[in-house]
Amino acid sequence: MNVISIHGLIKEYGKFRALDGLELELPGGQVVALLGENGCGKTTLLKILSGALTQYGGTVLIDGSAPGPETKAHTSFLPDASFLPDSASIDSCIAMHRDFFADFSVDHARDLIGFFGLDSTRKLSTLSKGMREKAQIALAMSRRAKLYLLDEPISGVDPAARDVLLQAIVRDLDPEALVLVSTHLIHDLEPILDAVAFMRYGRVMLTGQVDDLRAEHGMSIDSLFREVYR
Amino acid sequence: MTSTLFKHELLRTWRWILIAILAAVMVVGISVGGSLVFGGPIRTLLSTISLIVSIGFMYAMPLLISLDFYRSCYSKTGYFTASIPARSTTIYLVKAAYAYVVTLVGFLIGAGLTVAALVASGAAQGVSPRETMKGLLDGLSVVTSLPAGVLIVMVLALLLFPVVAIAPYFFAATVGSEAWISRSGFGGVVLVWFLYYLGSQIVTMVSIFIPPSLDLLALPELKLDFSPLALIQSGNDVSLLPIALIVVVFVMPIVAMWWAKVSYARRLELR
Repeated sequence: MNVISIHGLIKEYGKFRALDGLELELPGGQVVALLGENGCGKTTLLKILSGALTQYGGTVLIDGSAPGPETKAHTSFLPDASFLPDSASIDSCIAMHRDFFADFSVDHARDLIGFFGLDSTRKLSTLSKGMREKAQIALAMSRRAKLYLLDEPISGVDPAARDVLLQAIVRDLDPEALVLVSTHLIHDLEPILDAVAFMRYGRVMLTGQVDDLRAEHGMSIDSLFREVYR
Repeated sequence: MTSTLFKHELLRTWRWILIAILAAVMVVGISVGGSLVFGGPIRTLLSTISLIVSIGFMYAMPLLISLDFYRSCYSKTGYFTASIPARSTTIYLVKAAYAYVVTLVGFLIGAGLTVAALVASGAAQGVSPRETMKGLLDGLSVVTSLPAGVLIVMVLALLLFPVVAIAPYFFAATVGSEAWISRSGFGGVVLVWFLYYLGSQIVTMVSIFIPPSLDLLALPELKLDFSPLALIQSGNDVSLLPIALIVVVFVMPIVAMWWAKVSYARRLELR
């Protein structure tokens, strides 16, 4: 069974149609990049899958169920925005995740926090943007989820730190899990990708395994992206 | 999951609740103490401050806890709340129940502070604290002599007051964040609050003309007046309480809280 199964997905913001009959089927066991220009609907799609947007048309299934408590129990969502209280420390965020998510591993979170060199007693408000992103990625990736939704996870950090973050994303990843990452930083993300979905005007215009696409077009995914969106 | 949700409501809010309570108690305490010690205009000023703070505290608590509801459900941290694997209805009901308890506690503390402020206010007018307290207790004894049915209604009304206090804010936070207006940001919330206020004023006004009305002067005997214009015709010596007004004052907030629940559960739109 596909982890994600989407048919005829429509989402409108007033008169603007952000998603226009989107079709997408993604099985587990892979890291998939959601690529496209600004405003093509990537974030909207992730929000619908996470349950942050409830008003849409079409069919959205995660592991066979519509977004709801069942799917949230095994979907880990990392939004583009900072979603944890500024006044909370990393330790209290770990406790919060432990209390709400049965699939959350405190040991894994502490391992990742240590891997990032963060002090878990510090409050989020005292962390830099990059440190905060590391903390949030550590929390999101410490769930044993079937589906990870990561919205621009490495956009706020310097190039050197991006590699560390990418390592954290794929570190100890369940082989059956699906990681869906929206990004503009294709070059940085390419080494960990298994597949890509190119979006434009609220639809998926091209999907495929990165190895197949590279062989078919004779270029990297980064170059292919520039070619497609030229 | 319900107990976990309650636990984290408490963990997230206890600090500012405690600070607000301590600040109100301190200001009222100092003002009341000062008004009993000093004389002249300072006494009047301090007793006025104590009254404003004690009554303002009762208004502030439902507003602050409702703002916390908005922040935890619709601002950035709303993404975390929306990702919790619990039914949206459960999350909403826990937050509403917690807000109810905080508001009720705020009312009780505010009422206590108001009694102290009234003592100070009495002192400013030359009435001794003992006489002020006697007056308040006399008023209470009138209430306790009311028929059991009226007393039950009064207790129910008092228990419903926190709902009346938080309903406009919860309604505004949820409906004002729906897709049709979410692009206005917090402005949408303010607009819906204003529309709710306007609507409640109109409905309340209409309810005044709906008979029957309870004759308060006849209490403890229950006497009803069935004239639709009774309240207007009674002039300045109003002794009639329209039953429909009581129903509207309490039913409208209950409907608003239910509407907010439906909005949060079915029409959630995070920006």
